[in-house]
Amino acid sequence: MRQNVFGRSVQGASHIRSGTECQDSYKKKVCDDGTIILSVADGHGSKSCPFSKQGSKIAVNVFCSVIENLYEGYAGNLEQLLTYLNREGDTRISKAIDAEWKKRIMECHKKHKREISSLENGEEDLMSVYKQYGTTLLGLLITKTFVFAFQLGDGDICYAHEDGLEMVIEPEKILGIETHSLSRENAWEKAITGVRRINVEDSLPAMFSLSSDGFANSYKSEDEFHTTIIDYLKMINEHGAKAVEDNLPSWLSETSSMGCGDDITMLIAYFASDAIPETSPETAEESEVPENG
Amino acid sequence: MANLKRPGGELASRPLHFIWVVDCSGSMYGEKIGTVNHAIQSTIPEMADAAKDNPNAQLLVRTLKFSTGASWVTTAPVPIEDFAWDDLDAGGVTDLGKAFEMLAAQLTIPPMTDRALPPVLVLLSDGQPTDDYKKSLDKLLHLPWGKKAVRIAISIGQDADDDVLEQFTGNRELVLQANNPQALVKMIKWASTAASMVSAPASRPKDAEEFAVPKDPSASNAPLVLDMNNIPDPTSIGAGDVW
Repeated sequence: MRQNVFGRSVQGASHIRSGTECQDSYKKKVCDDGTIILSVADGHGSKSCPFSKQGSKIAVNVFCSVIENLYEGYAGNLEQLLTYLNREGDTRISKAIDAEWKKRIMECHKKHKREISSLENGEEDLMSVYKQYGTTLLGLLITKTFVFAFQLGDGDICYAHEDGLEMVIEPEKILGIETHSLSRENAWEKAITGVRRINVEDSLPAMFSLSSDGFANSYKSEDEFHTTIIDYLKMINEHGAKAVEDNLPSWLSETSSMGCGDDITMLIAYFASDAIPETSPETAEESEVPENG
Repeated sequence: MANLKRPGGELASRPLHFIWVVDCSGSMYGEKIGTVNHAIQSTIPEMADAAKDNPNAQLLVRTLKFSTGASWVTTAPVPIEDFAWDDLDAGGVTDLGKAFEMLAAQLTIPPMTDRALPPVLVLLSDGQPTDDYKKSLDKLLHLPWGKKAVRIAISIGQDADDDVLEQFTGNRELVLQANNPQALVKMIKWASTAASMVSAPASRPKDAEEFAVPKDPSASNAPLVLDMNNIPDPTSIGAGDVW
């Protein structure tokens, strides 16, 4: 089985008009044994979150780091890891991600010598700092026998294969423009996690996708969005991962322009049988996301 | 690199429903309803221009009138570029509860979609409800889109029941005072700008501290996408000419 991992973030059409930077980030990590860790974060664009781009960068780094450490700690014992993630995914893992993000945010804030307001009792108002970096977070660990998905806030994690499309986890949908955020106190309580036994080799070709909410919100309906994910899979099958990766920025820009205008990130892990020749070989590699840029 | 055609389904901007809810009871007869007709009509080109600046939101406008009963002036939401104001007449009682009931029916999913932007509801009234409005208002404010809607009221004249209007908006600041024609025109113009503010929103954390204003669980924080610092000061507008 071969696999391709690629993604892109594009500045939303409305952000281009307003001169606002893209606040999405993504990160991909492919381990030596083929295990894949993916993460997408969507920084809030509101005025009260001026550093949400840094918040989203830190978020994707935190997810990959926490999950990679955990994965390495189990040294290939996937069944034990699966059991642990099933039991502790929405508690310990989510708490660890929440705590590590807040720790790194504070380090970043202090490094940039940004102001920290004080509470009435004289203590630092940490929540007011976190709020300035507000972001959502999606994450996915793909192993040979199961996947672990994490979601805090909006966005979508999908699994497309020849038989159709499945949502890896069903997030809470909040109407309008609000979303759950890592910046909130006890943010981990709003995280949704899921572990599913999926052996991708059983239904090749197949694709996992993580996308920020700007992607789904650009389609007329949820059905149109689902159709699109399946079409992306078909496109890779037909033209190869490299061709889709090359075209992805223009497709996403067009999607934002003709859709909701928001920033869009799409991160894809594609799997196909070795028997099917690849149109243009591509090697997946880790993408470094500098946090303090 | 081969340029491939973008795959996928039908794209669409996000719908933004803007609804004028106008009291057409007998007490609005004459100058009040005339001013409402003139002022709303004059806002349409400005709303259309503002909408052009944001092609990623589709501004859909409609009018709900209420007096003895309530009815939609247009049966379906109309894109702002096609919207034309039909002058309203006044006569009858103030069946505000019926208006809330009809609003609630339209803010249910479906016909609303979950990918819409928060709807904007602008209620104009000069009197006391004559029917039982509480039950239908409660239903409206407990609908997902009822809670999220940006709700603005324009209180026309000194006989308007501001407490009822505040129950609708969930926020006293969003009960705009219009005690004379000049003030009414200014308040209608200000309310019409809510569309452009809602149409290009940035995502924000749910229940973030600075938005957590409502004391009433049914009250929405959605109005706070508005810049309430520039609400016209009613005391400075035509103070010598009071309804």
